[in-house]
Amino acid sequence: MSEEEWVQEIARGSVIPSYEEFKRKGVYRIPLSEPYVAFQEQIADPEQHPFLTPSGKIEIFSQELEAMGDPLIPSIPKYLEPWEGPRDPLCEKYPLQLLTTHFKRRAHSQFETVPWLRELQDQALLISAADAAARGISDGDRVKVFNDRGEVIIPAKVTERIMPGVVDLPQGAWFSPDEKGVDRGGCANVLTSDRSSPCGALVTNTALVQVEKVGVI
Amino acid sequence: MNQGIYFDQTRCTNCLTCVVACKDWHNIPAGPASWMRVKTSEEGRYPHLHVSFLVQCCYHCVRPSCVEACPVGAIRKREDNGIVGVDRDACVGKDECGLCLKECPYEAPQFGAEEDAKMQKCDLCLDRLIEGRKPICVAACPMRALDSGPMDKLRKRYGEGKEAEGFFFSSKLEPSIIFKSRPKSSLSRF
Repeated sequence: MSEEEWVQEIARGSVIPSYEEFKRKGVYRIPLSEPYVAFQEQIADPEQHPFLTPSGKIEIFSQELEAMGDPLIPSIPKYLEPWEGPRDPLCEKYPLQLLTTHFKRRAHSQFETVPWLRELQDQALLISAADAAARGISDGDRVKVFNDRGEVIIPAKVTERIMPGVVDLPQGAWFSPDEKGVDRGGCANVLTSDRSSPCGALVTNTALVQVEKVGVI
Repeated sequence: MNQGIYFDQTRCTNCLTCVVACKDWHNIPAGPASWMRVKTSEEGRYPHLHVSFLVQCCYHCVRPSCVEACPVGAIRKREDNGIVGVDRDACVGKDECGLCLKECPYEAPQFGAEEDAKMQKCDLCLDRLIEGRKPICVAACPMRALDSGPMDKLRKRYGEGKEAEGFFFSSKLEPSIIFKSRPKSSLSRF
């Protein structure tokens, strides 16, 4: 089947009545007899349409969570101070907040070894011009990124496109230790904690680090 | 009529799909030779920034300096469509010559990593043009930031924009490119 035939086939199984008209206009609007309102049934008749919660209502306070008695799982939505966040005393030693953003040339660790993609973007530590200047770091310099969990040696990319106090080591790069066991691949997992949040979420952006320029190694 | 390129700088996100699509279509191995590149310009201080991206390929100039610079006549501008092409068998090579690279302000002449590499460059996908198709970079761009065609048609559709962040329009060479540039007033958006 050609690409066009595939698209026609998909359109046939959808709400779109005329593929030709859809193609010509570029858009199909689904006609609504009245505006769509979320939770319309529950609003109109809450008795007959309870939510799937113990109280049958939208719960801002949760009796279930309250019963757990875990201060890290509060019964009302509220801000919790993160571990290794900007107010952690560990900031004295490791003042930079590490982010591990997704890299456009990888899907997590996949495609890391594709030569055509590798040459598009260097795995590097993004650091603000202010933080770099304070450490004598110029764009392209080799830097050591470290905390109590490990260290990575990687080139620095000095930019105004990141907030001072924050550095970014894109996640997914492969661990490549040198003879001393120091990672040269820019693997963020060397620096992040494997502790998970009480609800089971990964907290990989919650890490404090320090950065310093390294000589020729 | 001279074929040319249109680039909408307000749309480009620097995804680099055009760069990879070009290497894929033309079977260019990973390495320094890249017929299509994207340059990033960064201006201002955090958080008041202006960041722009610029596609860099061959702009198939009306008066190309590379053609004049080539001592063996290996680079020619076609009369039928204005595409600037290179005869790689005739090219002397980068190590012994490299004059085209020196003369081109847009770094269009590209060379591989091999010894005495011969020049290679964007040919606006002449093979696709013959089949009535757009160049692979235009077809691949997910943001629809690129277009191509005869310059008179492009001008009619997109205007006369000669300026873009990171670009210098050489009136001597007259590169066949039309821009929609990103105004600086968008600084506050970042």
